[in-house]
Amino acid sequence: MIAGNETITLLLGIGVLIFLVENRDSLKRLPAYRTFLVGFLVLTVGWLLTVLEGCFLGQYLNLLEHVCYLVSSMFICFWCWQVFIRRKSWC
Amino acid sequence: MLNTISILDLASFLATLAAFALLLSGWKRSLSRDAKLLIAGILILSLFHHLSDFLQWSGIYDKLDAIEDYPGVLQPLLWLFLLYAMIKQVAFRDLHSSEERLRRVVENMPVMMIAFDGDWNFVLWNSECEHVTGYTPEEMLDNPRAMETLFPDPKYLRYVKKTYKEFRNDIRNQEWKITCKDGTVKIIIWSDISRRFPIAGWSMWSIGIDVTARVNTENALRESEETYRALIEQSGDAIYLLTDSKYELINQQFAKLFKISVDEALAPDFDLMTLIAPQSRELIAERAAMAKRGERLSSRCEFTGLTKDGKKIEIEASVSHLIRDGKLTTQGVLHDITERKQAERELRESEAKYRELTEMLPEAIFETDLKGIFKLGNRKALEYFGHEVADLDNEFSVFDMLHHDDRDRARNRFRRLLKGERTGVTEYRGRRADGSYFPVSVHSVVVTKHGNVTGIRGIIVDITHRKQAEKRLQELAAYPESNPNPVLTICHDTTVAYMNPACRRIVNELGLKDKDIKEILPANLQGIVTEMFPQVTNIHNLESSCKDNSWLWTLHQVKDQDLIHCYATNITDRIKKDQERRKLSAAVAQSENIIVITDVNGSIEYVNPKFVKTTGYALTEVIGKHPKVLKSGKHDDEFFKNLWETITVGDTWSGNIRNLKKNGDLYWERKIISPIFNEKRQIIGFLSIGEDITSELIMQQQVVEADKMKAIGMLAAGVAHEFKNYLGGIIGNASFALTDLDTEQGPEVARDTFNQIIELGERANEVAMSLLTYSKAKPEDFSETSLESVITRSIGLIDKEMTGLAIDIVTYFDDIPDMAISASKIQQLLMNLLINAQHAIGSQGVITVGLTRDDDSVKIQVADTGCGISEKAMPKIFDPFFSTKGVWGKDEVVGTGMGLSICRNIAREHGGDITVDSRPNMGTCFTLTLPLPQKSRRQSGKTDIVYRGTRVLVFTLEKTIISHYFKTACELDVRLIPLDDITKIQGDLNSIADLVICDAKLVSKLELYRLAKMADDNGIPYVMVNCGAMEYQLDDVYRNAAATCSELDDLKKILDIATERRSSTSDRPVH
Repeated sequence: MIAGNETITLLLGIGVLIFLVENRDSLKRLPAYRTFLVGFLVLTVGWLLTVLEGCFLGQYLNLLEHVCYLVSSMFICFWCWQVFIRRKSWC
Repeated sequence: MLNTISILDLASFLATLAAFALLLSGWKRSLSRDAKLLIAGILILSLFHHLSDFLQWSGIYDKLDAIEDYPGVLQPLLWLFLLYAMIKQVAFRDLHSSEERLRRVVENMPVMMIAFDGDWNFVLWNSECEHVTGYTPEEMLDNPRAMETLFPDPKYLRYVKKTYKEFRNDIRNQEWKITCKDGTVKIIIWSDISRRFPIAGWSMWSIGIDVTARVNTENALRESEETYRALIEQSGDAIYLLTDSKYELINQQFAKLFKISVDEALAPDFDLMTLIAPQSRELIAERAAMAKRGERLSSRCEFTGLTKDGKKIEIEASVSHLIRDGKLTTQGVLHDITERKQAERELRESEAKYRELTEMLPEAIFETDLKGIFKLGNRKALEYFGHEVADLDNEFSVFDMLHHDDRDRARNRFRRLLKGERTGVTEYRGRRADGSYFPVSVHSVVVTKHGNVTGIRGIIVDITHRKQAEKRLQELAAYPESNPNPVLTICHDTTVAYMNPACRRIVNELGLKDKDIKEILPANLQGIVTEMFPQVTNIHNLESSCKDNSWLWTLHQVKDQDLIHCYATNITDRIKKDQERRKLSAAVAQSENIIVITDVNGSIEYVNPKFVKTTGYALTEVIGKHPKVLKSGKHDDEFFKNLWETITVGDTWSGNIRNLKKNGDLYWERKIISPIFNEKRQIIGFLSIGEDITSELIMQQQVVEADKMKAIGMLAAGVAHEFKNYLGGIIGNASFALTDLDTEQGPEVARDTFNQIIELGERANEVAMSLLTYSKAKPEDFSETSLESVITRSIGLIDKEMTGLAIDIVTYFDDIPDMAISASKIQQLLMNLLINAQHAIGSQGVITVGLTRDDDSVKIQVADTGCGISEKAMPKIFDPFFSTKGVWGKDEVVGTGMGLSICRNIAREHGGDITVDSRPNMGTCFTLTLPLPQKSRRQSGKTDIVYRGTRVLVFTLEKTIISHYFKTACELDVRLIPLDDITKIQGDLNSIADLVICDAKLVSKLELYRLAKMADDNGIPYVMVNCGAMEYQLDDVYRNAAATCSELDDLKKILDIATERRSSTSDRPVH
């Protein structure tokens, strides 16, 4: 079953993704921007899997969803370490 | 499975928590506050999400699911805001760094930049401002007196502020002078563009450039340019700058030099060649071309300029060339050297004059260096000492030219002379190259150059004669009584103490008394005598004269006595001879003839001024040289060989020579060269007297042409008539040919007719060719031509003229090789003779033309039976403008009087001559003799020369008889005189003929009798030819004849008989 809040989250997430793509040149100048962007992209995939699990392969996709959240959290954590601890500079 | 998810969630929670902890620990770093807040929000939401999932999936607490669903929707939005905030921060960072860069540019740009607030306080003062003024930004910014610092003069500061206000902050390139910290004043160009580009907070801002150095350089440059311009303008030399043949700059001196205005010269259409004389234009153009090609050429040159008023000026130019943008730029300095050139010319002329004078001096002149080495000597010096000019190449000392006993004395005097002492005249014994000695007196002076003594120069006089005279005088002095010359002894007061008989005799002869002896003594004798005392001296060469007599005196003071012996020599004759010689010299020098004197080898010893004027050679240039310097190459070697052969055997040569002037022009000279003999009749030199006849020859050529044209005019009628006959024949035959073509035998008959037409045409062509050859305006060069053909052509032309007259022409041609002649000139000569013959004959007679040869010459005889030439006219017939015909229309037959003169000139041009033999009424015979070329000379083969020159009078009216005898007459070199009327004989027959031949058939008996009687009376044999059988038996005339012939018989045979008859009284032979 597809939940309404999950669908809205996915749509907003896709909108943010589009915004990201549009402004990728500016965002590339962020310190450790690849880590940051991968974190966000994996998170967006998680949001997608949340919606898809309501349609098919509920259990597997649910597991993958949580894996994606973990991976995303780890990337964000790594990005925070790079920016605030290692003080990676702006491009 | 459920546990796995809860573990994953827990791990996610922990990772997010760690991220949050990291965020908090580095809160103050890197990102903007907004971004960090958004990250914190995202992380908090994630923590809540992971925690609720963990609790739910682990089964610990599942009530949070409903709460967790909706805040999760905020997560993407937070991400969006985060991204936006980050992008903004990127933009901000960019702006900030851009601003920083701009600030650095402004701060460090090499242009001064300032800005003011509304109260004239500086708010911007960049590093260039500090660099230029020395004031730091700290000293200038927020300093209310900063403007006063830069502009200490209040008036100037007010002016600056006023200008800024007036132009309302829109100033471009305004030049201000600011005072720097070190007190120097600098010039800054300011541009205030703050009105167009206002900046908030600044009432105005300006940029400035320090141009002090540039302005100073410009000023220096301007001053330098003005200095140089003033220098150029005030220069005494003409200066110009030329680009591609157009003047860009000229100074006043240039304009003054060429008398043109500056504007005129600088005009674009001005042609610089108008300032250059025609003779120098080629030189200037060539130099310009060389400079354009980049070839190296000397910077100095001299040329002839031309002022505007056409005056020529000599100019020395110092020029430099430069190729600029492909154009030739020339800058030069011109200097007027007209006066210098004139002075140089005069100096050269003067030098040449002095050199000539030196050469002509009768005494020797020499020059040595400081060592006494002979450096220079005139002709006489070399002659005295027997040296050649070539000897000067080998160094020899002047001391070697003296007797060895005199050398030390000479060296001593030489040294004294060089020290500045005056040595006077010294006598030495000169030594000739052949070792012989002769006395000389030498007077020397030092030669100085630039104030330094460089040698000595002196005059050497051969005193051989004087020494001999002195010796003789000394001999005579011992015996004054017997001395044939006057000898006197006078006292200190000039009273005569003694007078020898010779002196007394002369006084008496002059009609003087003894007391008048002083009249024959030298003038101012008292003064001379006073000078001679108190030291003992001798005085030589004092001259005196009295009543056309002259004496040369030598005064000899008697030692220890108050007496002077005076010895005189009569030099009256010598003075007269000197005067005559001077006259002769002046006559030669002033002669209008070209006079050259050479030695026996041909070396020129003297030329007169006319020679110098005509040839252009100076005297010094030809002295010692051979006359072949004048050789033009127009005469062959044989010509000169003949000339030298003639004069070296003692004969005189005369003729015309074409010579070469120094400048390469040719001129004709009529020359007579004679040997000069000494007393022993030995040739000691040659004298050539010549006359420049170039213009005369040109005139003569014109006269020849006029004469030729006159003859052509005379011939024209005859030739035209001849042509008319030929044309008539041609037209008639052509008509016949046309008619014949229509008949059966047409082609065959027409062929004959056409052949006749061709024959007539060829004859007409021959006539035309004869006339053309004769009328050639300019005679052709000498070429190998057959004389027979020339004679035939001439007769052919005159024959037309004699149409209708009873004049027969009889010819005889020997076998003559072709000769180098001018055919047209020889034809002109023959035409003159033939026309004269025709005019002399009138309407009836015979002209004989014979061409014969001797061993070394060819003879052309043209004889007529005309009126002959009177004895009075005979000597003048070859003179120009002498004519026995009516002159210029007074008579029926007119003449210019130039014909025979031209004939003689033509004959001489060919190396031959023309002679005449004539008697009144007995006809005239002109004989042209031309020399055979060397290669053709041989024995003529004429063995029988017994009758050469014999005159045979042939009394007949028949051409065939004359023709019959003429051939043999020519072979025997016998002069045949045809006669048709016995009354024409004037005077003795002896003076006319040596033999008479009578034509018995055609002459009347009366005339035969008269002629026979005349011959008998004069003892001249006569021969009757063409006799009938009865006649000679009946008449005494026939019986007394040397011979009678029934027919014409051979002339040789007749001559033999007549000769035999004359030498014996034997009976006449009968044929």
